[in-house]
Amino acid sequence: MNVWDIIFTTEFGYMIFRVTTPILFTALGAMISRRAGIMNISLEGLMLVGALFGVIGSAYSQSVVAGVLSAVAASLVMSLLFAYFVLKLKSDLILTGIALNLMASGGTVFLLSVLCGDKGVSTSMNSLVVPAVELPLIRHIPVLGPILSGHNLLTYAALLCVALVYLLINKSPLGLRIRSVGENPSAAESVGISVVKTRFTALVFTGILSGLGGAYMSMGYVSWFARDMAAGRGYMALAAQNLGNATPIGTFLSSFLFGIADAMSSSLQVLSVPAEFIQMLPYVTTIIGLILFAVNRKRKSAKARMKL
Amino acid sequence: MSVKQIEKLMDIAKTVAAVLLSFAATIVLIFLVSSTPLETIKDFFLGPFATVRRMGNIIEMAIPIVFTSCGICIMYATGHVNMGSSGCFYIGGLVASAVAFRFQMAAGFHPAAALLLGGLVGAFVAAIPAIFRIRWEINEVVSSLMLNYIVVFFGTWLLRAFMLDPTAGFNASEAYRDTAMLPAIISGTRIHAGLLIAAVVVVFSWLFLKKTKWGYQIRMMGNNSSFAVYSGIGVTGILLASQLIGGFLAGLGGATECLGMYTRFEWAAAPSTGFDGIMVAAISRRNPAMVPVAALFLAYVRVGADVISRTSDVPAEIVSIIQALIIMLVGAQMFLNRFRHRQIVKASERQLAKEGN
Amino acid sequence: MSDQEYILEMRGITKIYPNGFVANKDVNLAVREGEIHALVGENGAGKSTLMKVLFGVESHEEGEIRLKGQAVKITDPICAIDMGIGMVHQHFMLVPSLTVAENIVLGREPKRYKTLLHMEKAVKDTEELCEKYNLKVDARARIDSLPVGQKQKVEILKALYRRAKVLILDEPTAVLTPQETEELFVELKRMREAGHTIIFISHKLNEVKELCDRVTVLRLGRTVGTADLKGLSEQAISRMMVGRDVILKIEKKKASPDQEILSVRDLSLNSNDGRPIIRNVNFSVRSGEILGVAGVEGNGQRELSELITGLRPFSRGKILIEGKSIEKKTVKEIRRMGVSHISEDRMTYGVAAGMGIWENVISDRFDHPKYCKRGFLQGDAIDRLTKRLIEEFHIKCDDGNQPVRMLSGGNMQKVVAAREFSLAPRLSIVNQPTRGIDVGATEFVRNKIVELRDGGTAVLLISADLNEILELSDSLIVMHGGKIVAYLPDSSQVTEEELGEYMLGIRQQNPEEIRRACHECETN
Repeated sequence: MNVWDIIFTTEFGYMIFRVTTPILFTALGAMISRRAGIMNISLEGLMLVGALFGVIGSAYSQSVVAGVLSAVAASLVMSLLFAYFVLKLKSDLILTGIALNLMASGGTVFLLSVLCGDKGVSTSMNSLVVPAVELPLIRHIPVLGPILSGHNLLTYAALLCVALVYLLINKSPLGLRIRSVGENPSAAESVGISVVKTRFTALVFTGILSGLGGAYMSMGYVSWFARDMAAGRGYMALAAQNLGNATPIGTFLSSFLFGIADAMSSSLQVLSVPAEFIQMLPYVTTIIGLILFAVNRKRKSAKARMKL
Repeated sequence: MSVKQIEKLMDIAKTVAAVLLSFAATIVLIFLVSSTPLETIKDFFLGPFATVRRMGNIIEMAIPIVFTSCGICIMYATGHVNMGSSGCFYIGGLVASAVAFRFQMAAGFHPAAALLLGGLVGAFVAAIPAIFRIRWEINEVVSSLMLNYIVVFFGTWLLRAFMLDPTAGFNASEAYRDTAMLPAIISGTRIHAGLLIAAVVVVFSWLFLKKTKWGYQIRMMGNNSSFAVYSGIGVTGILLASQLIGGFLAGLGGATECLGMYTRFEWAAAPSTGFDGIMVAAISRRNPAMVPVAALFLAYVRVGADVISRTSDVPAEIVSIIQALIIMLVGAQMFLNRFRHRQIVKASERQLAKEGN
Repeated sequence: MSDQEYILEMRGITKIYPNGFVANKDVNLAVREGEIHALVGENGAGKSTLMKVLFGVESHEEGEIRLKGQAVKITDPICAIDMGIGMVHQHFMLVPSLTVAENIVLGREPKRYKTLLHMEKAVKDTEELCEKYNLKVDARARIDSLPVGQKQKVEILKALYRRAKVLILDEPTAVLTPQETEELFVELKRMREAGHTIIFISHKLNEVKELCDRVTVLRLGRTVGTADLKGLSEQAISRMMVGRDVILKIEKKKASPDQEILSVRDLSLNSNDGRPIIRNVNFSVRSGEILGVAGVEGNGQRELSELITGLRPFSRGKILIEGKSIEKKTVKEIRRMGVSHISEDRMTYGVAAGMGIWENVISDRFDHPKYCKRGFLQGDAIDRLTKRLIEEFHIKCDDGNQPVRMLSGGNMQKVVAAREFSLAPRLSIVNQPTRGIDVGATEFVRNKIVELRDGGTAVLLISADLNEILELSDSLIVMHGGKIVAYLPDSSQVTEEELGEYMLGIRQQNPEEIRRACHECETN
């Protein structure tokens, strides 16, 4: 089978949206943290906790809304814990992130085991999924229709979030403050903006967005929770915002790039290329992206110096 | 008591307080989920010492962590955070395994060659994020995390393509030759000769960091890199060297773990040992001499969790909550800060009073 | 004159820092509404501290602040801003990636639909402000694309946007080109016409003379006096500023300079944004002499010491140490040539604060065979060295293992001096050796510098402290605006008035006189 035969199908296009969704949510969250000056590696854990609580919430309430809300709430609580330790107790950023990720990884299995006696998956719980929606009119457009329509509601929500985060960061007073706190905290302090408070607020948004990313994993991408199901997506999201230079549009585009790499890694496995190399794609893309970005930045600053 | 002594004592007090607090949280959790809480708590704390076998488990579990953690003490002393130890550990194990079944060598020489090669490959992997940092100023946290995944996929491919034993019944390499394996050294347990290597690694790391000129330069760079530059220290070379050594130790750890605890290579993913190393380095405050203590403690808690997962209805993963709490509290500057400050003020006052007389 | 005439009064302000340093003692400052009031004084005279007290950055122990006759308490900068006081810091408080308008409205953003930032209004407000005060800045430009002069305008606009009536400018012209300075003066005069009051901190007396109405002079943390600038000569102000009290008398015999150790020839350096920092500098230092570099800080002295020690990549010109060029040499290689260096920035370049005393004193010699064999540090030899240095330099500490951060500033500096002076260097670059340390340590370090000279080291002493430079140096050069403006072969013959005038750019020697600073040219 030919690569192009796989890539140039509407199924592949549809798939890209499907796999991009969780990365996109979380990358937006990572971006807001970074803009406030926080390198946040706890995203992996936030997603995982969100995914589990989506399942628990929807299974116990039998309400999709309650499921998504509990996913968001759980991730938010973790994010606030991160904020409390990093901002108030002045813990090391990286260590706290690692600790929370470990706590999430083991804690979700712990809860899963206590609640349904299984340490692997949550299939014994009767959890719900967020419904897919067909877009009126668009669904009938040839080629584009099958790619764009029929996605999980959360996929559309993720796209909407790009716009909302754009408004928040670039067009709102809070966004202005977040950016100033991240870039020059003393300048922010000098005009009466509290650095700690602003960072707390930013981490609230990060918690909410990662929670949505997690909810999608267990209530859309698949319909159950599985241990360590985030599978590095939180780290990848961190890389996506890095590659996107922490702008909403850049983050959106690089999330899609990872989505494409991810989609390829699951659909190109029929090829004769070893599966591992295809699975590596998203991670290799990230590193190459970072290098290209850095080379470009270096060239630009060299040019700026030449001018003078 | 001098201010310095108080600071040291307070560090210890903080660690103890962190441990006690997380134990308290554990007890609360056990009461919440267990139907036989008292027994479970007893099993958790005393279970690991109940049999020789379990005590052996503690040591077996601590051995690989000592390697990665010592490596991290050296890498982090520069002030740069390389998260790639878990990839180094994995690839070190894989490469050592290949040497262990593919080549025929004399008994003493065989494990030595396998271990050395495993370490070298680990060093190579750890150098990559450092080179990216030096050459392009790429954040080593992100690049090393991504590298971990790449290394594992690459290793999985190597395993599948070149090392697989189709008769094994699962994805595993061919069985190691007898000449390659690290022998058990204490009967009744699986404690292997890796323990001795780990001891050497601890001594080496401590000597290296505290007593050699290279360790001195590494610490200088981590403490104040501007001052290091002013003193004439070449900081890029030092950064690279520290990452190479840290990666070597992690790779050596992976190799030791494989040859000591397994008969064939069978890791489907990177073991958590890399991140365990970061935790243990944090608890031991990046002092290699304290690493064995912290590693044994972590292993003890894990064995305790294993015990209760078998004897009661509490899953072993409870341990992850304990770990996380300890690390976060140990790493928290402001935790118990007031108490510490008060002690230091008191000491300074005493000092002043003494001088006044 | 009644109190009502003063918009701002500071009476009897005393500020003592936690380490016991008295920065302001009973200082008085009274500013009339609608004037440009100059605040002048040497480095360390207490100007910045006084302004920090006024702006609520630092608290004061004694004294009161009155605004329009009312006593006020200013607890933090926000409070000061609310009272109509604005400050333009020397280091700009701007967010580089934001636009001019965004920086100006930050913290008080105009809103649209109650939630979104009203960018158009922000831009409009900014443009109106620019129009009103005739400050030409593009409201939509990003800060990082602007030259320094424009950034400063943004800082002024920021204060004006917050309705500042009293504007403090902390050495605003230090970073500006002459053209930008001229522009700034026009703008400040316009603000004065618009009824604003300006406190102008500066060292440059010609500027003070040109721009300001009255002047208050501080010296050693006390008020010398306030005077009307009309009819006051620059020389008169200079005398008020640089009168000195001889507290520390250093005993030293006459220098006997020998061969030339350091030769600096035609050295020039430009900053990253193209401003000249060092302009065609020539001088020599001979063994057994202390050459002082006098000058107000920021006139190229720091860069000069960084160039000689290899911390800053080489620029145009030549630097020779005992006849060998240091071009393309690393810091280590230069140190090997026998150069030692005390940096003005002790915490960044002087010590690794978290490490022990022993680790700090061996940083320049740890790989010497005496202290390091086969890669292993020789504990005994290092211990002996540390003990000896602690004794010799009277470092007050528990033991050699004590982290340097636990020492007082004076003892910290003694650790630095112990390291830099104990290898019998051929050349020692000593930059602000006694800044911020107590009298005892100061005297000690100064005596050590003389001892070093007597041992045959060539010493280049850079200091903004007149006492120090006149006490210690055998001969002097004075830097102003990146140039050497005077060479004074015998410092004991120099009066403070004369030196002050050179430092403040009122006087300048002719090129032949300055040329004498490089001795080899003399013989040619």
